[in-house]
Amino acid sequence: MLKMEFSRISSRPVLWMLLAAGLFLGLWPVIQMWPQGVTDQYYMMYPRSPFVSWMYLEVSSTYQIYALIFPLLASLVYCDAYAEDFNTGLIKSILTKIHKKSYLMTRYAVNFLLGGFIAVFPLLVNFLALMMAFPLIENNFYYGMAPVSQNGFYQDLFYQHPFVYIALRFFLLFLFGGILASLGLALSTAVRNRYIVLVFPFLLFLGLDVLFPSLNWYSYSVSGLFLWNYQEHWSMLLYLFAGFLGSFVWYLTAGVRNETV
Amino acid sequence: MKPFKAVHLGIRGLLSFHRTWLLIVLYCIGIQTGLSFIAREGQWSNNGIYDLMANFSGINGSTNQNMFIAIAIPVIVTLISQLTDKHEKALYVLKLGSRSRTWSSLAASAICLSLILTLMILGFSYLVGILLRGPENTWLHSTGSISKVLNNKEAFQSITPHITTFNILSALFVTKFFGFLLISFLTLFLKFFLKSSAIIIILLVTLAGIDLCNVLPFPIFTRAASLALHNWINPMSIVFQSLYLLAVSFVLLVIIRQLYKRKDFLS
Repeated sequence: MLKMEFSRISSRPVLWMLLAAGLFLGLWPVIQMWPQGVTDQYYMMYPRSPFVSWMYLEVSSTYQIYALIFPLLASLVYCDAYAEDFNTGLIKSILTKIHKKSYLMTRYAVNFLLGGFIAVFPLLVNFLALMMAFPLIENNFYYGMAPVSQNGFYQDLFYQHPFVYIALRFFLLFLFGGILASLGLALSTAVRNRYIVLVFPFLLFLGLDVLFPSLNWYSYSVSGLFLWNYQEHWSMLLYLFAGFLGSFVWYLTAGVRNETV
Repeated sequence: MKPFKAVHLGIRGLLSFHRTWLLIVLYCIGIQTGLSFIAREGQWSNNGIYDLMANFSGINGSTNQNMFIAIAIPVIVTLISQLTDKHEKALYVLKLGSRSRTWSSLAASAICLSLILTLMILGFSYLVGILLRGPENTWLHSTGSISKVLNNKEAFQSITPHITTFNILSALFVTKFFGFLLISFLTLFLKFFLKSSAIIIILLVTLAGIDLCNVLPFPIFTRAASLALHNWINPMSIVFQSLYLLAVSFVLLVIIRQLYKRKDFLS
């Protein structure tokens, strides 16, 4: 099943298109800030490092566009696969060779991992490219390196263990991307329209992002917590937990019940 | 094909998606209410109905750039995709009799969709605005947000004729209608080259993001279809923006028509 999944994914043009888009989104800010003709004194007052220059923390217009299409990047790559199998009748052939539960579990895991990876890919490319451009100097809040303020996400961690901070950010965004992709997959058990399935996470994300700020509950803003470096809040864990468990239970329950053959 | 028949077919095709329309109406009500609530914040002035509808930042408000990203693009791409899928089936084309008839009915649908969506968005916005702030046009008051931002009595007096209720509503109607029209034709155009509607939506949202961040020195579509303070100071800019949207829509219309003449509906 896994082998089949990988061959299917690699034959999808959308995967390569999204990877190319991710590469562009990640590299463009680096190209713009690539050091040229600088002296030793140049970074005296505002030293640059991959940590402070990372597109996630140094918000540029490229990052704003990336944040806007984040849910689409996560969902577009594979979350319509179940609906596609159903519409084409391929699911019948697959289920003659493999147990239904195993099929559903593998599909969920692959979609989650792929959605998460594609969603964080631009940030990963950006950080790696920045490591080629700037030295890994220590972060110092009082030395012009203050992208994470007191109202930011785990400020102490950023200044004491920047690599752990970056890894944690990647991990959280990966989970968030995976959950968005899983929500689309879960919807495909009820709706067979592939387009609706692909767009659902984007609409849900926008809906939540309008709802909480409109009630003045900015600490609960989904984009603020995951994409805009807001201060850590328990609702972040709630979103991850509810999103993961909700999509998993919904997908598995409805998937098992669905009449396929 | 007679124009009347094309319009009739277009409207009939549009209204055939009952469930989609129901979901769209519910989604629009939810998002527009939320956008109006967000624009209500920051009460440093006598915040009125038009601050909620067309906040002078050009971004917030229930008819500005955020609305295009959250409502217009997803709704238009969803409906146009469903329409093209239906209209481009070989049997449907055979029933209509020619490629140009298929194209005419699709173009009529796109125009009708833009009109319906404009009326719906402005209607909801106005209703929510009245419920939250009442019908009074506070932009005309010296305590209103435009007067406070300008902070210049003479400058404010000179622009008051531009911000009467009729002028604001007319400007909102024209810019929204042409904005939606451009998105509709852009979707039809992209449908020729891209099979997946989800890729079309990602492209349009990216373009809207470029507009939102002012990356380019000129507007692409959402910035041109939104109204900010400079538009009220210089109302000719609204005319130019509307003409720009109309001209691009017209160019797309001509291109798509040519493409349709060569389209193979059987393969």
